[in-house]
Amino acid sequence: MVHDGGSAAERTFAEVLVEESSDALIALTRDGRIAFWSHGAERIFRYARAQAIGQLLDDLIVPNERRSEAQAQLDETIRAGFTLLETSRRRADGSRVVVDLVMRSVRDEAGALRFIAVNATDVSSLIRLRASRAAETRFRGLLEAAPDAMVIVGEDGRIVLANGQVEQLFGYPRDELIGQPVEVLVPERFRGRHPGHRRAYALESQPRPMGAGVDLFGRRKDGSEFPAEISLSPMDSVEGRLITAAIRDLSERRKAEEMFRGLLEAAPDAMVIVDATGRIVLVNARTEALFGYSRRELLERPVEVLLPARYREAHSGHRQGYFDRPVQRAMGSQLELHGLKKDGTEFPVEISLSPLDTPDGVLVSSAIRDVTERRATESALKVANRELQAFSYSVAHDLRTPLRGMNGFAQLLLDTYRDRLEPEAHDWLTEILTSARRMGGLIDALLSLSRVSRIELKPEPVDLTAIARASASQLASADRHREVTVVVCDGLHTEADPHLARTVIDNLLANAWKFTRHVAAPRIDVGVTDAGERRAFFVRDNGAGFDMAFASKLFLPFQRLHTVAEFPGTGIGLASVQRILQRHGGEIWAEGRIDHGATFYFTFHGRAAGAEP
Amino acid sequence: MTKRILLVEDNASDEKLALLAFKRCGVPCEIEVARDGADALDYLFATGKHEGRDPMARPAVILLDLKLPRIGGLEVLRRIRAAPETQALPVVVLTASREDEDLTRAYALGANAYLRKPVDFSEFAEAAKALATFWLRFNEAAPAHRD
Repeated sequence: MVHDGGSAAERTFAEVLVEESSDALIALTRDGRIAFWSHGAERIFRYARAQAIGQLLDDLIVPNERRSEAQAQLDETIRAGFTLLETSRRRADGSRVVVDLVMRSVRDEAGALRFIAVNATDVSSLIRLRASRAAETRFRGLLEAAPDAMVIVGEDGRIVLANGQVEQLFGYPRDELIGQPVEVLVPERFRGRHPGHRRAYALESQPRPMGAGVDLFGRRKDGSEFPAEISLSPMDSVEGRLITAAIRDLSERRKAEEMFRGLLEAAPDAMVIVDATGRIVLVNARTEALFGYSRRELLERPVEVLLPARYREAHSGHRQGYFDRPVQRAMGSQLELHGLKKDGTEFPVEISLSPLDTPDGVLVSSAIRDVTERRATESALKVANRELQAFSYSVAHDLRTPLRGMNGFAQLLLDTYRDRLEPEAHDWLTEILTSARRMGGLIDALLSLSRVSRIELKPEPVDLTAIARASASQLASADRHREVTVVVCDGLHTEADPHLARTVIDNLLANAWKFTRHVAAPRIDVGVTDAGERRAFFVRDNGAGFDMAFASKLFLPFQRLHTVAEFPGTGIGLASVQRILQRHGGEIWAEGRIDHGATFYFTFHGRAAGAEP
Repeated sequence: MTKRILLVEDNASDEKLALLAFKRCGVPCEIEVARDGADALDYLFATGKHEGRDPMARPAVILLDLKLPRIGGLEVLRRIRAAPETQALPVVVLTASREDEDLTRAYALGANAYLRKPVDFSEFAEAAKALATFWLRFNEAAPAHRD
């Protein structure tokens, strides 16, 4: 206690003032030892009175680096009687506190120094406020423009500044955050470790992402959490080192990633995602099932483990090439590809590749399909087709033999015994002949249909105009008693097998020729049209036409929309035409109306080639 | 002297029709029938069951089916063309097939003509008449081969 000779009541009042003051009130002896230590001093520096009394003030609360400053202040106080200093002092726990330090020398009447009165005011909150103001004016514009939530934190870990995005993201009004330890934004389970990390970062001088390789989370005011990506950068200011944390909400990205993973897992193909060095980054469950490896065994391994050894070297070259020009495409479209299972078995695969642009660079995703079954089916189909061909070949030929017998002997009977046959017997024999002849025609038609399906296509530029004109003049010379106007547009060109193109034109013109036989002024037009969405060649006539309701049946083998008596035919011509066009990658369709003619549109490819004017 | 045709045909009904057609065609001829490829070759080279036959007595024309038991028509044709004594013999392929492949191979092996058997007998009779007229009446055979 300090006794200055006042009354008991006055002392009590002085005591109250001293003890209740939030400032630290300290009395020092001339040599700097503590003679008095108020409650305020206990609160600010966290030393109990008993610990403080008799100690050198310098030893107790002056940080090493400030020793000379403290000595200078003491000397100055003794010399001049009064000093004021804003400085930093150390607490019992080692932490720092910024104080306004007022020192006054108290002397007796003789002028001898009795003691030194020290009044230390904790100005940390003032400093914070000042720092926040300064930082705020400097950075506010910048911060508000940033897409991320930005928090600026002082050396003491308290929030100095936050932008609007922080309010939105964390659900705190800004005022509520300023001055709070930044840990309020950290989920409770991470709070304990955070100040340590924070202090460690304060010693670094480079911006960097927070917690490399660790999933980070933010905590909203309502206690909910969100995945976050945080980058830190240090910034030195007069108020000390400030740390800026840019916080990005990853919820959407995580959701997208989850969706991506979901899709990946649901894919019917084995999906293997590879980085630019050829290492496997991601695989789905189908990959595990197909190749017999567990996910763990595949990740980080070169993708070549999934290939038979003989392809590996070439593959890594191809892989490089693909990364140089990554576009979505099938792998090795001309090649038979094989995969290698963990147990060493190989199997045929089909692979399609597509590049994925990710923050970690371009990855390549390959969808791998086991085509073992399809290959087997294909080869079975090939065998079946070959057998079918052999079958239709021999059916067509062998069926004709008995027909020749039937027809031949009926004819012989008719020729040889004509005089001795009843008219009715004569009639019946004629029926046999007609039927046999008709069946011969059907077999021939069937044979030609099967031929257009199996002969090899040899496409070359074809002049359809010339073909159509030749075909029309052939029809005219075979049917001299009819006058049919045939108009063929000039310059109809396409790429097609010339022999089959002729079959198409012959059939369509013969058709038009046939179905205009009951028309007074028959006319056939051959040309190219842009009508509708597609550019197509057409053969148009003004003949019998057909009911559009049956348009779909026109091209089925043996389907006829007219009786043989009206218009003879086998019902195979249009079927052959369609099959030829389909084999070229084209198509045929028709428009018509009964008694108003028919138009057949056709293309050899997706689109008809242009007609030259 | 009546000229001879060698008909190589395995189908009895076709054989009968062919015989009738040629009999009625108005060109006198003698028809020898071989019922498969081996039989035809034995006849031509006087081997097997035709051993002792005068190999120099050759047919004026051979009518050759392609689909034959034992040795097929194309193989018969190949052997005819391979042997010096028969290589100049006229061979007319007479078959049900109109496959491009058969036509191509028959001509490549040296067939002189290719006739597809029509279903209609009148047509066939007409063809038989034309064949007989041409090969038996008008065509000059190559001089007999001497070893």
